[in-house]
Amino acid sequence: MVAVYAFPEQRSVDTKFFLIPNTSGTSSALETPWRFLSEPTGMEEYSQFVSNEGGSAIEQLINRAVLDFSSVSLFIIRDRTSTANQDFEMSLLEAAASMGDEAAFAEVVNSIKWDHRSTEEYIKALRLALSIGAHPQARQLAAEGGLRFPENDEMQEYTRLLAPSRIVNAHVPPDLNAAADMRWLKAHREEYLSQWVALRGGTLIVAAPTRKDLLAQLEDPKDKSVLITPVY
Amino acid sequence: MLFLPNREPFATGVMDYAFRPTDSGENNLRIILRISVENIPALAVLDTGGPYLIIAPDVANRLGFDPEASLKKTEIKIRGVAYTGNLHRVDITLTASEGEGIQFQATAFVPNTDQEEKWGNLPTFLGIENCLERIRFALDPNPDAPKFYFGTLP
Repeated sequence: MVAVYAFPEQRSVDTKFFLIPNTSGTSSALETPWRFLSEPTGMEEYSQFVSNEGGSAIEQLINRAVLDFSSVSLFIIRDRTSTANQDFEMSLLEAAASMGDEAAFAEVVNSIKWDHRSTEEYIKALRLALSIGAHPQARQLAAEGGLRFPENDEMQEYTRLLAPSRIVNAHVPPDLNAAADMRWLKAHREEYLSQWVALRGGTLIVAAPTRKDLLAQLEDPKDKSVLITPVY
Repeated sequence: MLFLPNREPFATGVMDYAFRPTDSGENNLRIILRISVENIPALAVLDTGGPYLIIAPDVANRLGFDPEASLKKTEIKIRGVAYTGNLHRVDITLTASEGEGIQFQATAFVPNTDQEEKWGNLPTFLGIENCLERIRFALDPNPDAPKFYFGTLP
């Protein structure tokens, strides 16, 4: 027996079908090739399976989406007897990630009760979030996971990397060289447009058609007082 | 420099900005700021829809980042093109021509070295989330002397 699950999709009316293989755990799911079904066959039957499901947050979401089939883009089919519901939520997360569907991914992240989840599951979700560019969800998971798992080095590294920005010094003296560089770029834009230039304090050191050529001509390419940039 | 109605400072520093396209093939004008990343000067486009500081490969090369030093791989889409890279924490300075500059620590995305050719001449991008989120800013779009005013949240 299979169960069909769906995500609402507002951004596109394209319908995609998605088959989750029969996996008894969650760890190997990502390595298993996904199978896409191109035709929306048997929708009534699938909807019947959905409506027979219970009342979890995800299933409510699914039921709502199926009522308006035109707004549904992603269906996931699995063997109903294969995984526990908790693992299935992680499978949904992996499915959304493998589809590159950030909106679906965000919905699943928000629907999962993370306070029952392990460090490994947090980290897995974080990796998935970063792999598809779901940055707000990555930040959320890193913040929550960092508080819950203070002893886990990898979790703490994610928390450090994705921490909110922090003011280090709000009293940095004015930098007149920076202002001079901007004035030079404004004054000489037409002359050097699209070329690479090296500037120090509003003075041109060298210009070249490419960055490689420019670096070859610079005495010290690592000099931190030099602005190296294309002219926009 | 700029004050809220309750006299609390809104902006404590100001810098000039450029308002130009950053790609020869585009017409859209971008707000280009002169910043420093780990004390390396760089031009960066203000990207209010983007996360992190997204560091152009040429700036990343100057910073000497080792792609293997961070195993937190991620993907960023810029103008519809996906770039793979890693996350780091860096110190960024908004350099003031008047008033005070601000140094802050933020999340940075550094594209992998094999992305450099695809990157082309795109600039560094200064996003909001995990980056400018603690910075108040305001623009004076005077075409003769556009100014970017900035300050910190209390």
